[in-house]
Amino acid sequence: MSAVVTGAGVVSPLGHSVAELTRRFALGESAILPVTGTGREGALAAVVADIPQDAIPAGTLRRVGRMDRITRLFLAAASRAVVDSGLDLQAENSERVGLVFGTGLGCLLTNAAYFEKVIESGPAGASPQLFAYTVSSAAAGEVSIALGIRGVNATMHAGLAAGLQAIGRAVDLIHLGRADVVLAGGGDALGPTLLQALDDMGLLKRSVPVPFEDAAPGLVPGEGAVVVVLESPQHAAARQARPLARVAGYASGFEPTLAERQRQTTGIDAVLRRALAAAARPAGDVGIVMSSAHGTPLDAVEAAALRRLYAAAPAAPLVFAPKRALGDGFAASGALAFVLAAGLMTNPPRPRSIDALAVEIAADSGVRPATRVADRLARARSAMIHGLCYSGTSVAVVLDSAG
Amino acid sequence: MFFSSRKRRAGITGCGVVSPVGNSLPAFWQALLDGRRGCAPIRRFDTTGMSVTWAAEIADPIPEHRLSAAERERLGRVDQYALAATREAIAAAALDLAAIDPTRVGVLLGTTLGGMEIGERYLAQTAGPRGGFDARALLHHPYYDVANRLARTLGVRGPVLSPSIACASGTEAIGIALDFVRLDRGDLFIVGGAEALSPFVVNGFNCLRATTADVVRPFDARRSGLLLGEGSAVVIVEALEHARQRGVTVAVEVAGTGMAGDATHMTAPARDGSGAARAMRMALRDAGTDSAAVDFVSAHGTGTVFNDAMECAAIAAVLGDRAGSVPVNSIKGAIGHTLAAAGSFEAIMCVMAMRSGLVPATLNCEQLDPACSLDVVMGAPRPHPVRCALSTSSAFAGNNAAVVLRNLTPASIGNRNDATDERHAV
Repeated sequence: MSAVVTGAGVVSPLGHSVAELTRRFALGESAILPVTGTGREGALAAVVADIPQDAIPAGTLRRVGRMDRITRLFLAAASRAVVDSGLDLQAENSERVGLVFGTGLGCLLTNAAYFEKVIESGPAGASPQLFAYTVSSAAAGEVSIALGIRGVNATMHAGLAAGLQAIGRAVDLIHLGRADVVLAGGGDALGPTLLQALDDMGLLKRSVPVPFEDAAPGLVPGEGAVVVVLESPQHAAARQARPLARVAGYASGFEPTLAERQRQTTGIDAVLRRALAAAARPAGDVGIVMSSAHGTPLDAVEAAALRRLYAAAPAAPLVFAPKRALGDGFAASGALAFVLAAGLMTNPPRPRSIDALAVEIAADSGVRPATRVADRLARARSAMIHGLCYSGTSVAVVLDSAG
Repeated sequence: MFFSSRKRRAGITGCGVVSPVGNSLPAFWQALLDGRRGCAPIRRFDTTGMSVTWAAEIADPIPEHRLSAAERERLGRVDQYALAATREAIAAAALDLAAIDPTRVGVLLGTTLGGMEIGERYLAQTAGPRGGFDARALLHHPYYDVANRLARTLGVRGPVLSPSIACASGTEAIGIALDFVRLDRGDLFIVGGAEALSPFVVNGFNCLRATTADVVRPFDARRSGLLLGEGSAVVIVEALEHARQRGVTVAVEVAGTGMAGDATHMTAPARDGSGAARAMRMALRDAGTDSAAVDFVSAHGTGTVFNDAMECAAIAAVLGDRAGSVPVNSIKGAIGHTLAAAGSFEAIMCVMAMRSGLVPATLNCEQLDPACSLDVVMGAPRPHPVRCALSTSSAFAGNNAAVVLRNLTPASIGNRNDATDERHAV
């Protein structure tokens, strides 16, 4: 099983390309800032300042104004991914090109906007224009119209690991021969209603969490969208595309005890093990782990599962926690970690700041700062990206560098 | 290349239903055969000011052995429907989940509304006086929570996801389960859809002018729109070898799946039905067969002017010369449009048609649209052996999905009693 990544579109709080995201992450930059103007005093978030429109097809630009925020995020990311891949969609058989988007919250912000008008004005306040975007598949629908994609068109919810699940599903579709090319990724949008709801639930953190150190419930919300172009190796070779990376395997599963006091790791263990098995390699061959850690009680669960996975490996991997810089972008997080892993392996950064960004999960149950990070990054050929949702979903993808 | 990795096959080993016309598979099936209508004036919530006030709500009580008093108290309606339907499907499949590796069991459950009631209550209290609403309930508002909560209840540890292509989600879920079995991502999957109606969605379809003040009349010349429905339909999709190993005979195979996008409009289908036709052809190709094998088509059949015209064109294009001789039906006249659950209800209807040799009639279709060249089953159930059924769904955002179901037992005709006996339900 494999598919190659031939392009990526990134719309993130830390830049709008893999190169920029990787560079700023390696420099230790953080996009986490206090939110303003929403009445949520002291709350932190990582927001996309401007959604780029440079790659959106000209014929679609007049429709952008009516789209909701998540649709605009996905449309910008997908358009950029196509340009980045050098794919000429006009020359492709559009029925063999597919879309798979994963989202955690989907259209919930639009639902709220639509229903607030109903509350305000009664049934007469229901807006057909807003209601059209109260399905989570609206973003993929708009992207398919904008880009003329007529193959498999899927949107899925898989908790906050939906972005990685979508990438995995896309790999399956290519492997099964249902598509030659699939645009896949994850995204979620922030808005005042979401911030208010998180605050009302007591889930907004008001200080920057430290992954694997803090263990309080809550999150620093983020947003963004990442769409990658996945192709069968044969299709990419036929059009002489140069892959950015290769998806070697993935697995998904569920751990039903994550909401309980006594959390287990059985479901996560199986996911990590099966992702490696799908990629046909031992844990020791995977030198980088992009974790879901974000300073919550789940960090310890993930660390325990990784510790068990690498127990027999000759060396511990470098473990990064991108949410420390990007906040928790819900379904965008896994997809952001995916392209960040590709960026770190393709052009390993050398700044000394990178040393402070990785940890090692020690065999004795501790977590310690990693050493010689730049050198080890330069040698790494494979990464595992793990998405974990508080409600139980776990998805792991094994990514190989193209080199 | 297309079938290179397809070593494992999948079948349906259990079905469960919570529907507007009955809260068990036998009750649902009998109602379809009897032509019982589930649509009535909405009772669950205030409809003052709504232009259309009818829908197909869950009216009958859910059997106590499928939902405890504590679960009725604790769970939202959508979760209750999904859990009760799942328990019936598990019982029908003679499954003991405790005896199966939980990492080989998954949940694939679609919903377009999820915990919408919770979101509505939250927004209403933020707009008005606060009090009485526990914000932590919002954790059950996101769409994924229905599948996740079900997975937690059952102790599942395999893949859990919620396909979200609006009204075609239930059909896509079955297709994903087939792929996951083929790719050895698990041995069995709890698959389906669940919806609980609320003002949110009734107002939405009303404002699109998609609902009817009449009854739902799929493919009828007088059709004027849809009515919404709710409930849950769940099937157990299991690897054939796994079912065999635990001594279960599989009557119906999930043979193929297909999906395609229209890429034309956000809320209206492609008028020529080209997207739906491509999804159906892909499903047939995936099943290793073609339209010559199809002897029954379960249509999406919403009863809207555009959907049914599009579907007539799409099904006719797929069936070709046989378009006028292959039975086609829609069950939305009976249970309304159950959104993400619709495709799952229709798949179960196909299973029962295979088991019984009876195709339910399309309720309220009395004057077939002259533009429709299909053999729409009208008036009464039709005795007809069904060996290969094609079920199709279409949705907002131009999504289309189809599945092919294949009868693995000798097809019978008109064996009504056998098909309505729960002991024989697959």
